Amino acid sequence: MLNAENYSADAMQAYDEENWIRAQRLFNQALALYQSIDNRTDTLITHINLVEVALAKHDSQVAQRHLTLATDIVQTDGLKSYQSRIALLNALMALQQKQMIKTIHFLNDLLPEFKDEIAITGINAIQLAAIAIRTEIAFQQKNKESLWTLRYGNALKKSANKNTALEARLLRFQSRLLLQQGDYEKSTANLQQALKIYKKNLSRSDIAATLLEIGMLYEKQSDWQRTLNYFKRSIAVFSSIRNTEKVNKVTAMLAKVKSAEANSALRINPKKSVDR
Amino acid sequence: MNRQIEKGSIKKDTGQYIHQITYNYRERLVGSFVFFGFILLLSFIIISVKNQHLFEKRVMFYIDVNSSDGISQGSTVTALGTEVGLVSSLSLAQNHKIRVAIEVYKQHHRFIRVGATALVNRLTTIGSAQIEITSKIIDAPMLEAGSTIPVEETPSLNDLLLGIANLIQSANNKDLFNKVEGILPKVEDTLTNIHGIIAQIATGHGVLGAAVFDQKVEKELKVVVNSGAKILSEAEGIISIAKQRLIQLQPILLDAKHMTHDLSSASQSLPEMIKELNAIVMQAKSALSLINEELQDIPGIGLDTKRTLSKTGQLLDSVQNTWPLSKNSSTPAAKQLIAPQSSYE
Repeated sequence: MLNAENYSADAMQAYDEENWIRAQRLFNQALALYQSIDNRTDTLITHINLVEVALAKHDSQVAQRHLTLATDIVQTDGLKSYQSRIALLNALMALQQKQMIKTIHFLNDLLPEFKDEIAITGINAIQLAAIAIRTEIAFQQKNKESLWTLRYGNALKKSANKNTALEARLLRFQSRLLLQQGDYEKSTANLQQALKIYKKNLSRSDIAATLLEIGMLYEKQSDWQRTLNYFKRSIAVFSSIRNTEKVNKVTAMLAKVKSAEANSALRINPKKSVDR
Repeated sequence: MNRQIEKGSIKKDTGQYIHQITYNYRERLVGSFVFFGFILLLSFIIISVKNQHLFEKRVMFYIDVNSSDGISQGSTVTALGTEVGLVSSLSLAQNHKIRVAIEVYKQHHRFIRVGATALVNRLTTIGSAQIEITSKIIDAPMLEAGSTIPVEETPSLNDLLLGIANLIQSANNKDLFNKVEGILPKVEDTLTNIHGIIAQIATGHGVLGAAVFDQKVEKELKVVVNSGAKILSEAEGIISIAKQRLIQLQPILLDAKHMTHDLSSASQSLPEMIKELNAIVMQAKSALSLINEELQDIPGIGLDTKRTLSKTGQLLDSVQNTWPLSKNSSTPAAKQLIAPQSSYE
């Protein structure tokens, strides 16, 4: 039991450090130990943790496997307090697979009741995460982004589960709204503030994502130098957490920007191409 | 012969002169006017003589100066703000100096003591110098007449102006003004950088990670932090071993059947040993948390150190929670469930 707890503690630590492979290994070791003494609650918790780790690795197969096992335990043992968590994990997985309708379906049971932009009931951590996911969907579908951003902001104020990472997420949503309104300056300022928060928390995946967003912002303004700078920095951070998928994606974007920069240089100095 | 009768005299026809001895009022009035006028004149003369020290005895002293600029015969000499004498003569002395003879009035001789120095001040008035004698120790014996007093001279205004002109000339010759003009933009850049540094520190960007900062300092800090992290890793190894030993001891001490007299006496000292170990662990924990706070703002490097520190902190927690240390520990069990997430990048 003690060893299992130790493994779990170490795994939590590895998760905080975004060392997904190590976290997965340690959670699996803990899972084996909990299963050996038929500790159902801790087994369920470990399955949930393994789903989170698999989602972080974008490994949908492993995530689905552990989610199914977790759902079985909840249904078999009647552990109803974990049902909302299972629903949230389902929504998160559907979001990763870009199944928006399925995501909204899972979220509907989790979202609190709203009166315009204010939630009527109290907000717990799972509901706050659900509102954040719903806001992300709103931006992706370009539907009621402003309303959901306001709802998220108000829910964050109301919630007792505040942390700086959630505040940084709000800043990023607000930045996207400002971008839609064409206010590049304020949008950049919000993203820079969010970046500062993530750097303080040493949350590398969020740092990388924010750097990418800032780069994309400069790309819209055709500021190629800055765009290249931020894309390169984003690639460096994604590489450090071994997020190959994102590294490849940003590298492709970088190549496009370089070619756009070359084209704009040619337009300014057409003589050079003639001389060649 | 008959003469006209003159005023104040009686002349007889006989031709003999007899002096008048009685005067009328008008004559007396005129006479007293003349007399008092004379008295007044005399008193003025006496006062003037006294002020000009015309008949006063004088004591001679000498000072040797490099330049007689501003010094002339009759120049006043002061001591303690009082006029004590004057320059009587100037003459050439040895060592290409000018000997100035000062006559100090006898009544003011007491101001001139052994160890006195003279200051020739050419800056108070343009064109003339003021000679002031200062006695350092007023209780010292009076300086003998005929002594030479050491002198300090100030430059004249002309000399000062000439000196400044020379400086400007030489600076101009060495093109210093142009060089200063060239340096100023660089100074401005440096100041801008310094402002940038201060702004970055104020916004929590930290000391490391920017090209503007001293890379040597950054390297040294990295070395310190890395070596600190290594030390903590070693400590982690030692604590894990200690933890394993404690786990091994647990069943032996619990089973009362196996406790012999020797073992029970040995175990009596165990609580004290455990207390000591507990205290050491607590101290290490508080030191680690202090270091952790200090490293909060250092990106990059802080990640590794933070990781090591958190790991060591966790190990310390687990040692604390291990029997028999856990008896006195009321630390709650760590949360084992990952907090709900809304996205993974």
